Amino acid sequence: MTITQRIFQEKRRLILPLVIAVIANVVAYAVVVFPLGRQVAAAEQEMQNQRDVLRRARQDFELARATVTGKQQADISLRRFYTDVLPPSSSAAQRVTYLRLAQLARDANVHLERGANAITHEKNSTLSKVSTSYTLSGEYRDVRGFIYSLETAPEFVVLENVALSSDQQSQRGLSVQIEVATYFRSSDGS
Amino acid sequence: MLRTNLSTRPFYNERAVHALLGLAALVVFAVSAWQIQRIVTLSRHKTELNAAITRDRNEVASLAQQAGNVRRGLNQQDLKLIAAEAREANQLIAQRTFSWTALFNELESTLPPDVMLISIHPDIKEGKTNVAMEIQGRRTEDIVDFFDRLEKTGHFRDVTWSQETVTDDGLLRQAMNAVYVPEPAGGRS
Repeated sequence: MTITQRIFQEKRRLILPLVIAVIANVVAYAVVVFPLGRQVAAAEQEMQNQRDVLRRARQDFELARATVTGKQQADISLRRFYTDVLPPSSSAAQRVTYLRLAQLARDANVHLERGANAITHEKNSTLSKVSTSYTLSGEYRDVRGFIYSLETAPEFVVLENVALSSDQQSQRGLSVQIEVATYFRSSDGS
Repeated sequence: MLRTNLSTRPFYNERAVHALLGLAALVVFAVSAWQIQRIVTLSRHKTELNAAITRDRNEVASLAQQAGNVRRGLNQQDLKLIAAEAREANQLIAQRTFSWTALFNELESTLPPDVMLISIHPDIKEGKTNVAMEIQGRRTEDIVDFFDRLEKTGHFRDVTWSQETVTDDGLLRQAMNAVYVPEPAGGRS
């Protein structure tokens, strides 16, 4: 019997529990600790994914709320635009393109020689358009002054087109044809 | 001298064996303690993670339901109508705030002496301003010079002509288009 065999023989009451404890530790690591570590890693990954899903859900909810808020704000702004900025009716719109333009022309020392007026309704729109074309005459700087006063006037008037009229030089200087437009909410669209 | 060991059980260092066994027991104990601590920590962490996942899932479900309720409360037809109205209003506001004076200033400073502006029509769509113009000049060189001058201002690009006629007086009358990029309000000192 070698010395080692003798030591194992004589100390087996101490060695055996130690060997059992080592085997138990290995089994515990293989069966419990390692799989548990894997499960925790998987749970961490899943939680991360779930956080992303939650973040997207929060964004989606905020977007839905923002849509409602945006719709309400747009609605208020549009009502204000239709009632406070645009002329309220066709007669008010025609006053802008007829009376107001005549006043501005007089102030700018240009002469409105002839005009034409038309009301059209845009398809898929709640707005009607009052288009007015005028032939006006005056000195170049006065025509420029008239255009400036038109674009800085508080009324909602859009200057759409400016052209020298066919008789480019009239007795009063330059002859210019302008097309202006304003809009109002049609009664059937309000 | 007698060198033979006559004892039936030869001596070995029993204290060293005990020390080694004690050390091994200590290591096994330490590893066992680490494993137990690890199991407790991991189990607790896993429980917390599962609780957080469940909480997040519930919140996702709740948010999805709330978003659905909010959207169901919206009339999609109304929404489309308001979007179209807002687009139209913005378009009109852009046309109204367009500065003809600034445009005329630009053109005045670029028109060569022998080129005359006949008509001008800006068209503003989706924030882009296309200016259709009719000009009249004596020679092709004058008109090309006008094109060059326009582009040099930096406020006109893609200057193209679409139609040219010769008037009874022998003048060249040309329809042209350009993309106009006005100087931002307050850009000039």
